[in-house]
Amino acid sequence: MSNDMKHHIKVYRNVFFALLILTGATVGASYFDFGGITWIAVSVGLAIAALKGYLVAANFMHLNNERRFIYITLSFTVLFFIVLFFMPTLWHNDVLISPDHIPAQNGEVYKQVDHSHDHGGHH
Amino acid sequence: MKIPYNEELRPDTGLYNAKLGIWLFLASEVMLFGGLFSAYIMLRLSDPNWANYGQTALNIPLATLNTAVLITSSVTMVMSWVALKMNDIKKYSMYMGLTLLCSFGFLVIKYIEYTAKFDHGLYPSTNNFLAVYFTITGLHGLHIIGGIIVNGYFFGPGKKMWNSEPERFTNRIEIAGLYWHFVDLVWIFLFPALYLL
Repeated sequence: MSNDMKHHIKVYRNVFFALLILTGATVGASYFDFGGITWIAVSVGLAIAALKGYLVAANFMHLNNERRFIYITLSFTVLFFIVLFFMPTLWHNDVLISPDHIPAQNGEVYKQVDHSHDHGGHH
Repeated sequence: MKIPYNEELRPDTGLYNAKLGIWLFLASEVMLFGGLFSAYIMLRLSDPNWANYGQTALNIPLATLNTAVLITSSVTMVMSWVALKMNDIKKYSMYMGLTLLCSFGFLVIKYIEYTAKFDHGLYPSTNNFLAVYFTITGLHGLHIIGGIIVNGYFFGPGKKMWNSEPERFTNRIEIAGLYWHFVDLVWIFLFPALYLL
C-alpha cells in the first residue's frame, strides 16, 4: 500500500511539473505568429489545453484507472457535449448584426429581402 | 442506522455511492460550462466587430500566475488525499491548508483583474467579449468559492470524522478533490480561450 502511494506521489509530482511547463508553452505559443493563420494558433492553443486537461483527468481524477460504470456515464457526457458544441452550426449562421435577417419582434414584420435582382431575373 | 455504500463498494456499480454521485454532478457541470463555451464561439464567429472589444487588453501575466496557483492547489488537494491514505492526518491538514491558501490566492488575483477592468469603465454590458468574459470567469469564480466552503469544512470541523470513520473521511476528500480538479480543468480551457486566442 505504502509503495503504491509512493508511486502515486511521484506521478503527481511529474504531472505538476508537466502542467507548469505546458502552461508556459501555451503562453509562449500565443506570442508566436503562425504566419498570421488564425486556425493554426487556435489549434495549437487548444491542443495544449487538451493535453493538460488529459493529464489532470487521467492522474488527479484517477480516470486512467476507474470503474466501467464511470466510463459509460462519461461517454454519454462526451456525446451530449459534442452535440452542444455543434449546436450553433445547426441553425442558419448569419452575422448577428445583419439587419436583413433579424426575425420579427416587438410587432415588427419580418422583412423579406427581395433577391430577384441578384439572380438576373430567373424568377 | 448506517448509510450503505459509504465505504464498501456497491456490487453492481463497483463504486461507493458518493463517487458515482460526484461524477454525475460533474457531467452536468460539463454541460453548464459547455453551453457557455458554445455561446462564446458562436458570438465570436458571428460578430465582425470582435477585434475591437479589447480582448488583447486582458492581463496575461496575472492570468498565467493564476493558472499556476490553481494547478498548485490541485496538486496539494490530491496530496491531502494521499496523506490520508498513508494515515497521516497532520500532513493532510498541511496540504489541505495549502489548497485553501491557493484558492484564496486565486480569488485575490481575480479580484485585482476585475477591479482593473471596472476602473477603466469596462463592464459586462460594455460589449460582447466582456459579457462572455465576466459571465464565464464569474461562474468559475463561484465554483472556486463553493470549493473553498467545502474544503474549509473538511479542514476545520469536518475533520472530526477521521477519528470515528477514517475510511469514509478519506472518500469524502477524494470526492471533494474530484470537484476541485474539475474546477482546475475548466480553468485550463478558459485561460487560453479567453486570454490567449
